[in-house]
Amino acid sequence: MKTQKVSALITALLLVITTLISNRNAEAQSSKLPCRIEISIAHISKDLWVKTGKRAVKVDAFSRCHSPQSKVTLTVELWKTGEFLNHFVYSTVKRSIGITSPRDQVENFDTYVYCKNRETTSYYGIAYSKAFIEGKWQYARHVLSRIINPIDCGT
Amino acid sequence: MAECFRLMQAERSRYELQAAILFEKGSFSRQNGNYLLKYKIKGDRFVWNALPSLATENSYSGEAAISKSRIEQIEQLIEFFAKSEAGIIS
Repeated sequence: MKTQKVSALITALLLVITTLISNRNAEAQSSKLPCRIEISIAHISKDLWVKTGKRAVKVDAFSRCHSPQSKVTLTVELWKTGEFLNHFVYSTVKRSIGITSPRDQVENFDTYVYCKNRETTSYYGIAYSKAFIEGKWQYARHVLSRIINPIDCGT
Repeated sequence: MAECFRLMQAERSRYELQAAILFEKGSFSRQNGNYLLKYKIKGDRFVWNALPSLATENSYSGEAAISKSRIEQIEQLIEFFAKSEAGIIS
């Protein structure tokens, strides 16, 4: 019994240490990355609802870099979950020609689809980008919405 | 986005004609202000590209999974055309 308790304690301790180390590595890695992409949770657009009375599911994303970036291509995809496979719904690409300073962000807020009915569906977004930074192309890896929420919106 | 909704209603008959052309030819393009809008059917997706006439302007594109029934596809294309035109304005 005592051996089991000690073993459980050691396992828990190892888990905590591993988590701490991996978190520290992730932080170090993210501080090294030249660009950061953020994507929202899929949601019903309040703005559209207020202005038109129509419901639409939407995901927003933006990219911000530590250095000036140009020729930014920011892609945002909207997906819905399925029983066996997830299904692509809609995607948009914004290609920004000019130079974007480190203070500013390149936004893509145009990825939305009108609801056909109120069928509960789980949606999520994916965003990725490429940009010309300090003389070379930089690619930001795919970022997924933090949470996949069921929404009363069939598409 | 409100502009997209307005276009879906105001330009519905033009979009229905455009949908018929797209189904028949598989692709077509039209000039919209400073942008050339190109549409095509690529595999199981509708694709649009908005190419600026000025090199200093941003460009845009979009893709949508094609619905199953023809009625749904036409409704989808009406939304699709409106989005492509509204996306440039916003």
